Amino acid sequence: MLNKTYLLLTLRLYRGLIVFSALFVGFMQFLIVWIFASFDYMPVIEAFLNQLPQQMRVLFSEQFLTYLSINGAAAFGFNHPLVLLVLGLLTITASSRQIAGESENGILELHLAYPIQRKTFFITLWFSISLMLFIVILSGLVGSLLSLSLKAKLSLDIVLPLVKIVINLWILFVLIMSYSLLISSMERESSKAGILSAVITLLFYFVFFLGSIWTFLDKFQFLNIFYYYQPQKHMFQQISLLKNLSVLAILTFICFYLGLRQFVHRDIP
Amino acid sequence: MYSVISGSFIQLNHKGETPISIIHVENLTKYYGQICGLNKISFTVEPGEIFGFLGPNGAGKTTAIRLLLHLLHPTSGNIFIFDQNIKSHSDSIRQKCGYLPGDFSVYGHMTAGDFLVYAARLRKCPLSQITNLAERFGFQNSLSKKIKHLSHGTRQKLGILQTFFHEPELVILDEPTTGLDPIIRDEFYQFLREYQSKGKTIFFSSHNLPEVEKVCDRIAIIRQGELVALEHLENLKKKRFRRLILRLKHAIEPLRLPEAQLINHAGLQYEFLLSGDLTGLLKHLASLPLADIIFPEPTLEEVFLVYYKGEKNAQ
Repeated sequence: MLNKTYLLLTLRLYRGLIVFSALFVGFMQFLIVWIFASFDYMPVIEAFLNQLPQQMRVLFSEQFLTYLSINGAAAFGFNHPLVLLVLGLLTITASSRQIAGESENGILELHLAYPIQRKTFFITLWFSISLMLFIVILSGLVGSLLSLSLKAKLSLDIVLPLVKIVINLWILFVLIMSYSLLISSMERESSKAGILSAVITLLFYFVFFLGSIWTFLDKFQFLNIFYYYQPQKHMFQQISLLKNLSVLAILTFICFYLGLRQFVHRDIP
Repeated sequence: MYSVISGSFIQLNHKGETPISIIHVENLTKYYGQICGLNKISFTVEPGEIFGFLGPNGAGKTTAIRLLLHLLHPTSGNIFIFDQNIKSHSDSIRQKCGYLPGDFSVYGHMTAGDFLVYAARLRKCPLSQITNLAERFGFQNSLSKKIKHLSHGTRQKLGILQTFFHEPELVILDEPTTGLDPIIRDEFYQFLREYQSKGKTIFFSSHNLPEVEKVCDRIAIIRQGELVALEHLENLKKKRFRRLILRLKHAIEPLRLPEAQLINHAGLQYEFLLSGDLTGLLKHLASLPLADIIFPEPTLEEVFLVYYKGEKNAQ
């Protein structure tokens, strides 16, 4: 089902981006947790809130203050726009370049003239990018755990939710990768495939962000993929991991199946 | 398993029989939306032959090759390679094929050696042949270089190496000599002859008539997606028109030559299209006040004209 030679090639092709992303995400997590574990910022924030007029003070709920705990900070790191951006960059670059890009520059034609089944090629590519994402997200977990252990704040109460967040984030990006591969299988130009995947992902992200400040959109948030990834809620046990994974896995399977079907039946180039 | 035919080793098919044909194409048609890429072409490539596939750019040569490799899906028609349908046996067929695309491109940051190792692993073949081939085409010093630093010609040599290293039964070449210098090109033609003598079959696509004449046994001519002719080389040469350019010392009006049609005239220069027996013509030429005489290579268009003229006469 998997072609080891092609798998190793794709990992080699993106090793630079994988190393950069892993270091960035790992360091980011380490730094955020370290900062929140180093300073007692709660009195400062409470003093600041007390000085605000009553009408403004109600905007900051108690939940907001709990999110500012070390647990909240660890979860926030995995939801930081820069972390999501780096993961998105890796996902969309690899997905659009390996099919649409290689179709454009002729490498795919040569590849598929070798005795490798199209199905095997696609599944190996899908697995390979999933593995890249796993390595990068895992480095974020390592960064968090390292920081927590150095600050002697490591406990099961924080590690278990962090593991849930990591799994949830990974499945979310596997879904993004699956629809990016589907788009890439339909396109003949890397740039078009990449831009289309990026636009769809950004659209989901901004609509989800707007939903948090615009109650009208809130009713439709269940249609948004980012609704099924809310790390702060995982940290405070306010959401079911199983429900999130089920929805994301079903969508991933649909995109994977359609992408595979499209790739097997498409003309090269 | 192999059998010996005319002194060549021919690989037996999956039923253990001598294959009737290596490639058999029936009414192959490919449409890109409303645009016709290929229109009902049929031909057969025999075991152990070098089959030329000749046509101008955009005629449908690459489309046909991509259909043979199952990279494109035909609109209609069938392709059998090694007596197996390409639709159902494309993987086992591709295992026994080597392919050199017209525009050979690979990962630029890889070294040529690394790419060949990768290709060998994908094919699950040993790399033992690489050294001999690399030596033959003067490629040893380029093995450690990054592909993006290789010249176009050297990159084409790498393409040749990756096509032949696993000694495939069928080799499909799409404009293989693009970018090769004349010495390496001649070496390559010689190599193709030697490869053929091992009983291997070569499908050679080109837009260059003299090149195809040098190496091929049979030639199919394709134009605007249609097969115009399928001939043995000898027959093609017999049918072929030649051009003749004469420069005279002084004007002769009217200048008429046997078996020749005047197609151009400017000053003292006359251009003719020749056909048939040249004996009478040569005798006539001896009586003319000649300043110069040139027999240019016919262009593909001229060859096509011959066939179109033949078709019209037949109608």
